[in-house]
Amino acid sequence: MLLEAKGLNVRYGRITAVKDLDITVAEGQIVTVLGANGAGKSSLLKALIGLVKPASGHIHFNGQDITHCSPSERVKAGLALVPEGRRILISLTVEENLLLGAYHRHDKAAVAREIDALYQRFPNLGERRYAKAACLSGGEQQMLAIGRALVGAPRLMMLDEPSLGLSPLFISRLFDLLSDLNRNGLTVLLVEQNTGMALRVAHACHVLELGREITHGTPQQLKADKKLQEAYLGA
Amino acid sequence: MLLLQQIINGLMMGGIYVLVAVSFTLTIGVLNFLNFSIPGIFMLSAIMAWRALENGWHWGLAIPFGLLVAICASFVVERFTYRFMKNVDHEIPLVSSIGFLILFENLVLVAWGSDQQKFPSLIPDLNIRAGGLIIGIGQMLSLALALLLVIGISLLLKRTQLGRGIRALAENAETATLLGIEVHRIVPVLFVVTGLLTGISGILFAMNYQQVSAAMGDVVGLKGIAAMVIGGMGNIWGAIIGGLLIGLTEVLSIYFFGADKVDFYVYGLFLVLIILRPQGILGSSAATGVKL
Repeated sequence: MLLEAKGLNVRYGRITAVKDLDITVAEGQIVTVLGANGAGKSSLLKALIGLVKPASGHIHFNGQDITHCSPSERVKAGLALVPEGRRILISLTVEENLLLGAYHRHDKAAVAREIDALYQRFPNLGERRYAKAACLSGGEQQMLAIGRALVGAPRLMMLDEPSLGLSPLFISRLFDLLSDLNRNGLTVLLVEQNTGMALRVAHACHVLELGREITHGTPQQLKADKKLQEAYLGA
Repeated sequence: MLLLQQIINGLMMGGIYVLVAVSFTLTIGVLNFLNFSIPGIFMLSAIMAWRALENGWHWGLAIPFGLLVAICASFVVERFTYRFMKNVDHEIPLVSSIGFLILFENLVLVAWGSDQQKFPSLIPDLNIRAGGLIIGIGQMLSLALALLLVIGISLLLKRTQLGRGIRALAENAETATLLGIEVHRIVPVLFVVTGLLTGISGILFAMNYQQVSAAMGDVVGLKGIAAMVIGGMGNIWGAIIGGLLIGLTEVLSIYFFGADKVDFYVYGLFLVLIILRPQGILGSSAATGVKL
């Protein structure tokens, strides 16, 4: 397993955001975590990248116990998070945002090549490389956020509701991109409310409610579960 | 011609305010922390260099010694103020930084008294005369050094990965953290840099006025804050404009209205500018969060 979290609990004061969660992500998979607002999905990702400390539980990444590692150590180990709301640094240029994605890397020439390759892939970003990121559209900002994570050469990319606020056209481009990156070897942990899209690309799914996992399985298994479809997945 | 001379003098004086304003603006812009210990650090570096000179040290050792004390003091302030700020109100580190200002000043008072002390003239009293204008070498050196330092800092922020990390931190600490930027390592670096800048400005001030005292930082500190606010908080180029503007206003109001009304005009200008442009000359509105 590339990522393995066991018995994870995340608390904010007296509120429990994530309760006794087990989750595993195998190398080369797209694993999706579904659930309504407040299900604990973002808290899970924040605990995995190290922005919040879990109250209990263990996180192993690539065979290494990272439960007590700082975010920067986790990024160096190969984790990346594309946060909810994209969190582009709007006072910096497009290129500076991408360079910051490679903050922990020291192979400057390789980073420059990869950034050039990203500009080929997203010509809109290439055209505005020296412009402030504030001038990008929502969809372009999402591409930049993903590009920024990719430049860090992660082994596992985690995305927190990347489709939020995007047009349907951009949403389908986004999921095509994720599938494509996955075919090229990137492992993905995807948190989504856009159930239909997420189930289409995922290999495995977890459904959370109020911090607890209520079920998990393959997309086919979840789609076959009529009750689940009606109750949680809004199909 | 005399007016032109005053303008030149004002720009040179402004160089010192520029350095102090940049120190303030760096901690405001990146950490949203108004570091009130800066006037104390300004004074400490000059006083320690003076003590070293009094003890017969060569200036080539005394000045680095003063700067070293300034850097250490700034680092101590970071350890005891900002480091504890993450989960508390912004006012708390501000108040503890005022505590450090009072501490530094009173330590010096206890040790060497409150009198003005003579700081030896280190630079031979050479002047450049050009077409009736007199330009002091010391003053010219201060202005040139101030501008070079600020340009250097600006390049560091724009061109280096550390600088980009600092700017990311300035915009959003959480985003910076999840990108793998080690905030707890960058913050002390920032305090060391502001300590160095403040220390240099203190020693330049002492060299130009040839005097030091425990309270020497207070007036300059206030003008540095005014310069920062006029220029736009958190904006380095704004701090340069604000610093030079205050230096100019000072000498011009002496020239036109006499030395006793300087503060009236300096702070009057400050007030008018703040009413006309509350965000400062180069400041952006708070909503965009664009800084540095």
